[in-house]
Amino acid sequence: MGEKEGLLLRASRLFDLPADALAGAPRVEVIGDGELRMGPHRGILAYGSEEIHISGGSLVVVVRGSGLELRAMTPEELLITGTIAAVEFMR
Amino acid sequence: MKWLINLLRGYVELHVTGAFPERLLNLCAQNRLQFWKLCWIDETSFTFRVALRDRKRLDGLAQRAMCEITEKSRRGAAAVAGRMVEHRWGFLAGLAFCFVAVSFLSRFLLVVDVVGNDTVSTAVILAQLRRAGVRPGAYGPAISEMEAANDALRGLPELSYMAVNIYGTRAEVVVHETEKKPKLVDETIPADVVAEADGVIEDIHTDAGRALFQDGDVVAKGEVLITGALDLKGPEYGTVDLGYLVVRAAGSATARTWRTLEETIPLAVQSKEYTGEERTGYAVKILWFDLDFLQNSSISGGRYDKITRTEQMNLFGHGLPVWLTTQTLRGYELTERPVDREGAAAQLEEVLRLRLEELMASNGGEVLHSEVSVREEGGRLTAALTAECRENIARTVEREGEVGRKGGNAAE
Repeated sequence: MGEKEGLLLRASRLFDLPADALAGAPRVEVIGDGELRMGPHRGILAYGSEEIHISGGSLVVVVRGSGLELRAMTPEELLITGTIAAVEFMR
Repeated sequence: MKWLINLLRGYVELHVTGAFPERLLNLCAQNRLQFWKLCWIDETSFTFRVALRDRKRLDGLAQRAMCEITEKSRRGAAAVAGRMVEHRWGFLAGLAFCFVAVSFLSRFLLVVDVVGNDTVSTAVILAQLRRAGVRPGAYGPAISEMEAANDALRGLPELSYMAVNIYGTRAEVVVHETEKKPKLVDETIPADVVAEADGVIEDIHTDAGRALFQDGDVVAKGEVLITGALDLKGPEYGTVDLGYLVVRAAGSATARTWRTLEETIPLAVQSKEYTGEERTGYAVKILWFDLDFLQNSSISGGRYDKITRTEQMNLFGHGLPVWLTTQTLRGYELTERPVDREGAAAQLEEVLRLRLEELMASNGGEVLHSEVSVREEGGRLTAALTAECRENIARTVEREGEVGRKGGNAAE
């Protein structure tokens, strides 16, 4: 799975195509420091008011901050609110 | 706005405990089970809220995520309603009965309102409508509005139009009254004008016919003032008899008249003395059901007044199909009592003056002078009113035959 995704990711870069559409790579959208939207995702791995770990398939998105709250969650997208200090990607 | 919708739909607050509670959140997201107000307590537990309708679905998901769910509270309108009806079978049965009763009873007429009538009384119209089937308690869908209006209209010649409109439990009846036809005078019927009363003529005016009296003449009641028979004069020194012409005489005769009116009253009358014995009974009529508690009610061995009063119950100005009848029986004895002479005389005078006023109003006359005298005879008190009046004494009296030329030897 990881190899296939990596291949699609490289292909999208090669042909200048959007990686989220072609490879299903997570798209993270941060609005100011109070709202974060992410999709697609593969679920929450860890949850806390200061740190939330979200599975994005080949990588894990770590949202750090204070008063973090999972406001909405669907199979495609999730919304986190609070004071976001950092967004980190872990492989 | 969202919180208001959640409040109306009802929600449940849950406490989730498990080794990996975030798995439950992921399962909820995968199954599109909406949650909110997520509050992480520690690494193995959190609280959140879900809609009341998703509560059962969550149990299956929690089992899959190996989490334990504890219900903390239920809130919102749906939850309150659920608590209200839970295990309250009597309440539910009552609610169902009310629903059925309202659905069923709202098909019956409760009120019949009549609008647009002026001279024809509402009671008369309602009585006719009752015969046509439009009455409180009637089954609304069974009434054909047009047929009912036509049926009722046939029995009410004073009305020219009627429409019956049924709005749920209320029937509105719109009516238009017939314009009164003016009285037509048949000019083919011959007539004379005669004096209605004795008097001295002040002014006689002839529209048709020939006046037999002049101003200042004295006439007696019944004398012909204006005759409808006109002599036709033939040519001077001629032998032709033209006969006479019969017409319908018309005119007016203003005369001074002297009217005498009398009224009498006995000097002793029987009056009621109430014994104090009183009995009251009630009857209730709801739609077509009579609850009669008055049967065989009477005061034995004596005279009594029976006063029956029926009242229709009202709600915010609208009549309900509920009538309460109160019947009061009041016992009395008859005793003979002398009449107060002065009071009786005054009463008689008032009655006489009223009669004279009515008489003058019908003749278009006026009272010039009047006086009242009172006398006692044969145990009765008699009052006589003598009045000098000015009035029109001309009255048309039809005679037999036809109008036209009569008699004579000349060809018509």
